Amino acid sequence: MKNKTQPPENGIYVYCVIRTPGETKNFGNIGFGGKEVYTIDYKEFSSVASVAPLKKYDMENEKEIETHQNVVKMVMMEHSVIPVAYGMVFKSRKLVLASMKVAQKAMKKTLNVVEGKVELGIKILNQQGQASQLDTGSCVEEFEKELGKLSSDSKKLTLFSKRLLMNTAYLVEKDRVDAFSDAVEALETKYKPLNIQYSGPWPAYNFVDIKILSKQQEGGR
Amino acid sequence: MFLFDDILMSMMGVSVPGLNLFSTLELVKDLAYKELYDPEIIRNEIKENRMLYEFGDISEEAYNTRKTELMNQLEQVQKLLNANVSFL
Repeated sequence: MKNKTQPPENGIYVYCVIRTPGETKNFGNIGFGGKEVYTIDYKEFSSVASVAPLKKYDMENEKEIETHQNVVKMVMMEHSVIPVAYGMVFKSRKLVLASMKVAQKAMKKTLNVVEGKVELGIKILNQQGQASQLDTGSCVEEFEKELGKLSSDSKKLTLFSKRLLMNTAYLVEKDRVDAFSDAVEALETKYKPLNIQYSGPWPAYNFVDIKILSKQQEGGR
Repeated sequence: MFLFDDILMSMMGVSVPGLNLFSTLELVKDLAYKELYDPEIIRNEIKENRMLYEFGDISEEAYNTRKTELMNQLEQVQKLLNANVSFL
């Protein structure tokens, strides 16, 4: 019988996929548990991976989510990335390669969507307990109209709180990020009483199938 | 044996005010349970708590206290769901 206190065995955790940089690349000891993050190459694609415990990665574990995000952020500084769902850990390198082989077509399609682009997020929060003079409906409309002009695509996300007026992800070309940021700043000034959160750049999590290496992979959106 | 309850009475076209009230209370209780034990609702509350902290609407202490409560609630619900316990 297995000892319950025994740590889980190690597998290969995949953070994202990039176009092969030409040779195996090392991103440093920034993975889970300070492990080395490196590339596993299959034809024109590379999985960015590290050795990590073979276990269920909880969506509520902020520290582990942060590790995943930090690795992807680091990789994004030099490469266009195909995001992979948080918690994608494989039993062996051989299984990573097998999944990449199966997902090759979908990865090609996805890279065409995300290459040279980043995701930016906008959340607008209504102020608590204050009767606002603002017409929040037309404010959201104006955000959508102005930011829509500067993005390649957008996606309305769940309004998970009653106070959320807007929660939208935008897919923006890298060379238009500054113009997008300026537009957000202008709108923020115009609608000052509202709380606005502008986040990113993120990999295009909301515009691709992030389960691309899992059994449910379906390819780019 | 027949179950002498409000549903059977309603089917027979008989309405007993007291029994209807019990039925309404049962429905309210079921909805409250559903809300309390729906992992999606708890996850949304976890996200909301995080967002309110990021926006500076709540202190770090309030954020951490609420987060611990919600995480415990989610863990309990997951255990119950894994044990295949139904609330409706």
